[in-house]
Amino acid sequence: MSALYSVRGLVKRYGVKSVLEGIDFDLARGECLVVLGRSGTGKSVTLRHLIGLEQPTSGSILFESLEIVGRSERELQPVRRRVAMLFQGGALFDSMTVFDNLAFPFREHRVCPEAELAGRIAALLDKVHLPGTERRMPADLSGGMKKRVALARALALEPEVLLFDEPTTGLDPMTSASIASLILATQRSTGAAALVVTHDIALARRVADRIAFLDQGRFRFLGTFEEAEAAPDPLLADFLAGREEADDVA
Amino acid sequence: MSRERRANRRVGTLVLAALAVAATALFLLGDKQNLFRAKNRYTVRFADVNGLQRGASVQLNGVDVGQVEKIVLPEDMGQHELVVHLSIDARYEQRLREDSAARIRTLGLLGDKYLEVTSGSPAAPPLPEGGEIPAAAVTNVDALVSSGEDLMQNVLAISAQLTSILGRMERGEGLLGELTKEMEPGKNVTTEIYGTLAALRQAAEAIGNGKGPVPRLLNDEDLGEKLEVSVGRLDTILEKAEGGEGVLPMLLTDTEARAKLDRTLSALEQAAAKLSQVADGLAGSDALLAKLLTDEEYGRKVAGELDRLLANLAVVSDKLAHGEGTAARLIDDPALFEALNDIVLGVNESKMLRWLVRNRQKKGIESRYEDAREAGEAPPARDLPEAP
Amino acid sequence: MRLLAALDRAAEEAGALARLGARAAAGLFTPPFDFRAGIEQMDQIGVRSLGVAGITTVFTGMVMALQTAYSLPGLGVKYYIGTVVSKSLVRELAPVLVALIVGGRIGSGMTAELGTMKVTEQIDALRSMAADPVKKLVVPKLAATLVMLPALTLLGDLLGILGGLLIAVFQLDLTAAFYANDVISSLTLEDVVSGVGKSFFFAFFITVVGCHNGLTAEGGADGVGRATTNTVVLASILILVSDFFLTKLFYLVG
Repeated sequence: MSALYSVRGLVKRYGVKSVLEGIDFDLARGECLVVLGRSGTGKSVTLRHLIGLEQPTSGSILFESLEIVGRSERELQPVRRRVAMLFQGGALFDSMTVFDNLAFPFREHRVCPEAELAGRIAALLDKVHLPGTERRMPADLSGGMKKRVALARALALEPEVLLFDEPTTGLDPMTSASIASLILATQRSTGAAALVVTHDIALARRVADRIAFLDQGRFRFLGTFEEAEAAPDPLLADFLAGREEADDVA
Repeated sequence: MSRERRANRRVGTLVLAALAVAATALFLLGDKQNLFRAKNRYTVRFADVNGLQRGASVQLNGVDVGQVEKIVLPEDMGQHELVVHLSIDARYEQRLREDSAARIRTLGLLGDKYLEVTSGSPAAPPLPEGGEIPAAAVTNVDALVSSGEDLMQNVLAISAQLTSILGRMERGEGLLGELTKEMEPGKNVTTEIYGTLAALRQAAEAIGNGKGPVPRLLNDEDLGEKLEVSVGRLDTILEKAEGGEGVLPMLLTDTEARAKLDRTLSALEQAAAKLSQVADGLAGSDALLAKLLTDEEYGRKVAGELDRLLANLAVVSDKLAHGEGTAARLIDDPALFEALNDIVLGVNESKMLRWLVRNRQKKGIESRYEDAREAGEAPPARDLPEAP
Repeated sequence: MRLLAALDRAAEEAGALARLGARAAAGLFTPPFDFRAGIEQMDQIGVRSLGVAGITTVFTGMVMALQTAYSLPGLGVKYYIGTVVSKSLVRELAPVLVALIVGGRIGSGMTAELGTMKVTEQIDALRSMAADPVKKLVVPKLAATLVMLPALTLLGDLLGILGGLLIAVFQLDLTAAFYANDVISSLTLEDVVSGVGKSFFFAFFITVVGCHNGLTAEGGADGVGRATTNTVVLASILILVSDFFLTKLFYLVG
């Protein structure tokens, strides 16, 4: 089984500011890789690279052996057809209803005639446990509901890879748990690979096949959760335990 | 989707309204520019277009019928004329004849230039499309305007003066003012003149009627003869005067003498002044003359003395009267004596007359000398005695 | 050095604006055409601005009439009020004032809308779903502005001339017929074309600046606010500066 994604030597700098200094990993089909790290360490940046929303300073990203780096927006279209991203705030189009939000990817890619949309959208909403919310506006939804609608939207075109940017951040533990369940259920039912960026340990524990620990622009650790817990790295141990920093490295 | 329908309706209304405005503008304004009518093209050649611009209107008999399309300044220096290309509404093509004329005129005094074309006469052959309209002479409005400016300034100056004159007249100043102003209610210079004329007329009438001194003069022959004689005498005197005889001619011709006479007269004036001074002095003084004048008794006394003196003198003069010679004559003729006395007094007083006398004396001595020389006698003393 | 840096930034900005302008203009002519979005934008942009545009032009027309009649009394200018008001309004005042006032409203609205979308990652979401933000968001706005601003200008011309008519009839004792005749005889089609032509350009500038500032906004709500202010300033400057060049251009051509 060849990897869906192969990332080698990913470097990203903004002017003099260095964010990523050489990331290497593969993402296998159906795998769930959770990228852990402290706030502001470049986790989201890594995620954005995979869908072409950022271009690296140097490095290579292969999606099914096709180089993504250096591609134009137009050339990335096929990739974006198969990879879906769930943004931190949901990024629903607030001028449109839930229905139109969900219909967007269908209409954009002309997947099916207009008449079919209602049924498909209803099904999607069912999946995320939000039936009957088609007419609602995003502003009327709670944070958790927004994320679920966003997930429904991301699932619209049955993507092979799902990218989650902090899916449980800002949600209460119960809602977070339900999101975690959704991620697992989706993966199981669609067989999609998932890359989850988060600092929610509990989520990682539940959904991760592997975890990566991003620190100082590199993956300090890449392996299973159990391996992580057993690792001798004090920083990682502190992170997983939720302890405060031993030395002040700020 | 009624929200959408409402949106559609609103947008549609606005757009249609705007299109309506556009269409109206096109209709109203485009028509004016004959956008939708066939046009014929013509040319006119001018030596000078005086600022005519492309797009300027072309008027036929004062009506806007077209516009200037193009003005071509030939690159070839040999060609002296510019070619103006214009278009005129085809409806009027019959009016353009070979005797039509085009000229460049100005809208108002300071406005844009436009092209004026006159209709030709039906007798003349019609001008074909694309033909050339003959140019009429260009009135250089600029020259007119500038000479007009001078004219205007003159008019302004004149009017200013007129205003001032009229102002003065109103106030009664100046001749005209005098003529027209009222001196007293109902009277002004004019009435005065009329009055004078009336009086003159009366006088003339009176003259005609023989009343008054003037008609007497005119009608009385006797008086006339007397006048004639007087005039004749005057004439003689004047002749003599002109002939150079006597003192008078000298006075008339000799400016120096006249000047001296002036001086004499002023001296006389002074003498008179002194005399009055003397008289003043005499008025309150004890001098003889004063006393004579004021003191009766004294005066009688002096008069008595004088009587005696005079009696003596009478004797003397009697004697003299019987004698011969100038002295007797002098004594005999008191008038002559007085006159000579006066003259001597006067001469003494007057430097000029003294000089005159001396001059004459000198002349006399000289002529005597000449006579004597001619006669071979010894020359008499040439020098004048010492001046008195 | 600071000057160079500023010029460099300005050049970059100008380049980005030009590129967005080119993409948006190209997007006008490439299918698919989203008419619904276009109509909706026209409603937002045009219909909502009619009131303010109308007030602006009516009062400007009235002021022009008053100013001309009262500041130049001795020259018999009163009888040319129609000419003065219509010419100045149609050629210059209506296109520029409507663009400035309505453009400020429209442009800042675009910046706010797109800027908010940017900071909430909606623009990224569009991109991640293989949609072109320019085609989806900017083009409909551009189409709407290109139609609405000239329309508002034309209607503004009419309203402004009517404003002048009010003054002419009620303050200056002219008849409506006289005024109307004066306007019709002195206004040319070139004047109207020149005025409306200008508003096309203004519409383009307003939209491109407004959208660009929105799409590149950063820093949350604060950043959007700053971007909005910048839009009004930059669009106004562009309108006024281009007005000069466009005026010359239209005199050469028209």
